[in-house]
Amino acid sequence: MEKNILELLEKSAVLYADKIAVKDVEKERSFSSLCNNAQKIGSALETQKIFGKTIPVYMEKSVLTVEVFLGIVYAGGAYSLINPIQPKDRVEKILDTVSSPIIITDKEQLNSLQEISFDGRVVLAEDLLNTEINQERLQLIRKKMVDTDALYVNFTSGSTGEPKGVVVGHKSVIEFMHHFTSIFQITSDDIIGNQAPFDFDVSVKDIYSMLMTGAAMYIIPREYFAFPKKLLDVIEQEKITILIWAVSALCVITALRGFAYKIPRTVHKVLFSGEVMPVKHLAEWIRVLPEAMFVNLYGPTEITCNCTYYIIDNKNVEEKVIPIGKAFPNERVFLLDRNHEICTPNTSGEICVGGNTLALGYFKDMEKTKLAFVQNPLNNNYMEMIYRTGDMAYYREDGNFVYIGRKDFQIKHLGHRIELGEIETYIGEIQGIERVCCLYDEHVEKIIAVYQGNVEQKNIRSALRKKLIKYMIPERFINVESMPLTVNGKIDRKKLKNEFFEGK
Amino acid sequence: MKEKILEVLKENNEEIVEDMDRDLLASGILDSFDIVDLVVDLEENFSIQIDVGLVTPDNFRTANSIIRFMENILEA
Repeated sequence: MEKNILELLEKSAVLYADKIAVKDVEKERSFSSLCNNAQKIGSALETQKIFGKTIPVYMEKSVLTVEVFLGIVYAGGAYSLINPIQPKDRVEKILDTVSSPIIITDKEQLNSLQEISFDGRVVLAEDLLNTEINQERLQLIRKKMVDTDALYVNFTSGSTGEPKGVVVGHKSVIEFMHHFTSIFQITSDDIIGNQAPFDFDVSVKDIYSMLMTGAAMYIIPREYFAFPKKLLDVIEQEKITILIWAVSALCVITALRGFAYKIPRTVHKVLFSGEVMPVKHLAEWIRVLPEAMFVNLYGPTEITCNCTYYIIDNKNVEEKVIPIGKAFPNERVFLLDRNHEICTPNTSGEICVGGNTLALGYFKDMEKTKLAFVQNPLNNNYMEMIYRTGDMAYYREDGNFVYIGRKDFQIKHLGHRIELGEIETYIGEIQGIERVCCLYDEHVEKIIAVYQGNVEQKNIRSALRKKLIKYMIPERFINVESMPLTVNGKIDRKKLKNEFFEGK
Repeated sequence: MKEKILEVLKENNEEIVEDMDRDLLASGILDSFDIVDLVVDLEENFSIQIDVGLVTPDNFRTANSIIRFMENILEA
């Protein structure tokens, strides 16, 4: 087994030297030129002493972004993609947490980055490519690295309003990707159609499947996901064979009856995750691609991509719920009940995960790390870390896990993990707001904010636009005279749900 | 007819109609999931089915272009 992901790149650069590795609407790179460019960037960054540091990358997803990621790793650092479509305030918060001496951007994003306050040096990715490779230094750095070093830091929503940075190491990605590519038989003949933004760990499966197997990765522009016609055209044109997509992205095509326009016949594998796949939409995909393999994947960022998978039986999709399936090899997935005891079949408990794919914790936040990554309560003899997902499930007699929902107020909306508490924090900060409660109406997939206080909805919305990513802004605002409370003085969520949810 | 289209747009998201010529895609007011949501709203309110080939950036660029596009469909 490799100890550094760069070994995957270097192996493919030899085996598949002239084959296309990664392509976007503007350019493409073969495996050998991808490796070469990454080494140039690495050699440039190496002089900036970034060994062991986390380097923010402020770029849209592109071929160059992949090169920058790998270049940072060559220089001994970890990368953290900061998506430029986020509000300025959130970007600043993340940059503040990361506190890196440099930030990498490209010409396209330079203007937007200048509006953001950052103390360090701004480095242009295009400039880094004009560097000569210093093999000697790169090898020295490699020697110093170990497989528990951080590879990337992925910022997700946190309940206190502070984004949490999940730190994932080389070893976890290598371990997971070996199983992932072998179970789903991804080969150098495949062309992976990348949907996920690079600050979303679904994209890890695209990037590292490419590096590990010699498959090509085609980066589909974000804008195409509003227009099924463009999506279906690009799948056909680029002969894309594998989709590792968020459920919501697959549903864009079916919701607008895209298959009446074109059937993506080149696709033979569809792997989805992020939220519960509506059976109606899945059935439509299977109807047009009956020979394709469909897989339901489950797992939070903290355990590296996914920990369970379920291969769907295309001939038998009448099932009301699609299970999240069984654990990937070498991952321990089990359920603990309220008394920290292991669950028996058909009783519900919290999904817990152990093994070497666990993340290294939350960036600069020992407190939260210790709450989520804990000693396995079933082991009293020696240290064994597990991650408590906060997700509830039960398992059936056949051994498949079935997802139930969240333990707390974290939700999945359009494939994104959102803490309702984070939204509440920001609404609560607006002048005039006395009380606020956010709810998620799953039937219509809408976030609802119920608030008390004399503030116009328009003003709340515009205040939130400056603070939150778009998908976190509630779709409905309801102003109430007074908030219903439980006997303990907490906001009565149940009552609010009964009153304001749009029915079942 | 224009009134009713405007009303549906406003009901979907007030910001769409704040400036009739603003680029809704570039400004990020409509992202991919918003467009799906909007198309479904338009379909339901006018009891029509919009051909997926017509869901294009040109037709959904501004509030005015959405109205023009919808008027064309409804008159046809």
